[in-house]
Amino acid sequence: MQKRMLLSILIAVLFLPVLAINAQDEVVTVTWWATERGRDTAETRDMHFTLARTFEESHPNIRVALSMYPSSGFATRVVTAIAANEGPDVFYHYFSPDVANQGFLEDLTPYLEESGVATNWFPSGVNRGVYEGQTYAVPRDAVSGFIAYNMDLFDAAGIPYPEDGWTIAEYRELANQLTNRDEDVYGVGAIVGGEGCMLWSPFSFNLGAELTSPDGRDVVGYMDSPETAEAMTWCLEMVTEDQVTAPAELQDQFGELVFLSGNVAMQSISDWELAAINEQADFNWGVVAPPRFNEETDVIPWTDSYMYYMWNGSDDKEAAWELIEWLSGPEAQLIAAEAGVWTPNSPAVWEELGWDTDPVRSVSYNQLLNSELVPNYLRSQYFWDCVAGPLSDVRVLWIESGQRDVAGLLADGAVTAQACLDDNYGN
Amino acid sequence: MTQQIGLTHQKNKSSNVRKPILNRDNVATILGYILLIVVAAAFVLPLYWMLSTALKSADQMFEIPPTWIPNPVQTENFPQVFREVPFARFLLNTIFLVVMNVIGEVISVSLIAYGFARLRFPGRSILFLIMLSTLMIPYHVTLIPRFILFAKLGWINTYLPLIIPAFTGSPFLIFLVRQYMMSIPFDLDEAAYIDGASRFDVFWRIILPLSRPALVLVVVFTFVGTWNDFLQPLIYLNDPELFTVSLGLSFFQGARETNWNLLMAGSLLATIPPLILFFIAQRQLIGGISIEGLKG
Repeated sequence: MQKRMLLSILIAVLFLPVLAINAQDEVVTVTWWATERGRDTAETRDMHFTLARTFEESHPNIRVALSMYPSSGFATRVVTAIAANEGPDVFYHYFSPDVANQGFLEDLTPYLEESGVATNWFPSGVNRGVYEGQTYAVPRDAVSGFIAYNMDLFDAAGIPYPEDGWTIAEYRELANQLTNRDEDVYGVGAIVGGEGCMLWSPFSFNLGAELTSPDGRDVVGYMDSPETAEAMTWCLEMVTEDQVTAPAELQDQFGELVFLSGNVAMQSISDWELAAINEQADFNWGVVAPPRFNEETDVIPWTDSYMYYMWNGSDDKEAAWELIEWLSGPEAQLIAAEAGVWTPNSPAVWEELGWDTDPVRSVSYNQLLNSELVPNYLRSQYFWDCVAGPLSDVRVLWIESGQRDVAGLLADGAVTAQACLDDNYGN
Repeated sequence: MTQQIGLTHQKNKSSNVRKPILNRDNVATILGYILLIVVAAAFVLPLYWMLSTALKSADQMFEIPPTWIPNPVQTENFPQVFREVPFARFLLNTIFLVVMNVIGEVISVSLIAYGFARLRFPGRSILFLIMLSTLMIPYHVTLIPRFILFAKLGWINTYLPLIIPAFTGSPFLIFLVRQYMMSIPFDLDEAAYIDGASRFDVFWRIILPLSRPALVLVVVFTFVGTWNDFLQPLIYLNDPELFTVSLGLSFFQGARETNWNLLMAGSLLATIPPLILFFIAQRQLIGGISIEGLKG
């Protein structure tokens, strides 16, 4: 009996190193699903595969199974797979972080506390992924909003270029001076619906407007506030009273980047649009920080990021985190920036690239350094279902029906939006 | 004789009268043609715009007033499509899926429709009703259960979820073919049975050849449906090597930027195979649709 036991122990001891070697060599596979909403080119996709292979070189025990999808339908792809318990370990998306309340995102707070990688990021990138005090997402990139201007149109009108520290009153005055409808020249172009003020641009913040509460669950008291009414009026007057915005036909033709038409003197853009302007603009152009409210106030930056998420059903969360940590760290950020695919999430990488002193890039860099606010439309996953519609209705009623009681229209819209939010949040 | 002379006289008289060029019939015909040309132009215009944009450079696309004839013609967009995405691979993948789906649907739909149309068995009407009722279920309702099923079978990232369902028949197509088969006289079956034919003989030698117009519809509908399907390949495929044309085209369309000239060049290439199929099957297709319309 004793002999048999000793023999068993001996065999076990002999096989231990073999088991240990096997354990060491065990390669885990992490699935990473990616998409690109903007510049979805062969170079962009190649760069993703470069990232995956570079990561594998420094992490020989982890294999990355990268899948790149077209942006349309990507959310359906992710959510269907997760619902079927077949989700990706890591994915990036444009979710609002409160989508965490649906229960499929891994809380990354403990990983971040141990890693320290977050200390390298711009402050808004950190805030962007926080829901109820916990971090569910980390920034893939960092962009800020600024104003692009057509130097040729300024020169033709004999007007000096705008400079940092300008005010929204000066912006409006310039838009009026530069507009020459007979010559098909317009003071401003815009991303959303002609005025481009309330969403996707720094204007709403600098006009003192907030559409939602910080947690995104309330609009009453925000969307219907006197400040928001005043801001909305300011924006809409530029369309109807001043008539300085690019007409709908031009917007239809050029989409979001109507600035590329060459007929628009100024447009609020971000780093995401910069590459297209660099490549396609056949006129001289420059960029300047967004205008502040008045001489007494500082400019309030608007910033944004794509975010990496981890599915909480991942089979190997440690390996998945290693990938996220690396992707949001300096090495991957540098690869992506040098490939011209996105702008880094960390000031150190901007500085390494010399972008902190570059005449164009530094405008965005300075905005990002001072940014903390998360955009209104990213605070609630239901913003586009509940708030965007009533907000857009105000614009339509003003422009198409000639209604001018913005405060009343916003109050009505806020009630509708709030009911929808309450319904979705189960209040 | 008198009568004959009278008739001859009348003929000569009528042949001597010169018809006005624009009589009522001609005017109606000309107006009809003008109307048809206008309607046809409305349909052709988007196709022309697609061709025109596919041959434009980026700056020409946004010119005001719009450029109808590209100058210079940029044929480079077409090779560029193949450089941006593996478009040839996507085309081959899609052709493979189309062929498999067409085979699957033709086999399954014809057999199932034959069963419902020509065979008598208990519960036939109820089974047919149940099958028809599945038409009312929106596709998105079954999306996740289907995904779970295929995931459990280990079929994700393979073509199996995109092919095997075709071999179980589409309710809509089964309904179409069944209606058509019901219009074929039962005397033919009975005569064949008297001659010693089996049920399969009757299906294979009599019903199937006579159902050709309806089966052409099945081929065309399946071809176009599979060719244009975006959601299913997106959901079930992970490996870009397996992607289809519709997925490939959507790579040109981002939320913030769209490569219109490449998208149009790719779309034009993707339109060619269905267009060829339409020309080949045109006569049968129109015949099939008109017959279905009459029987429906």
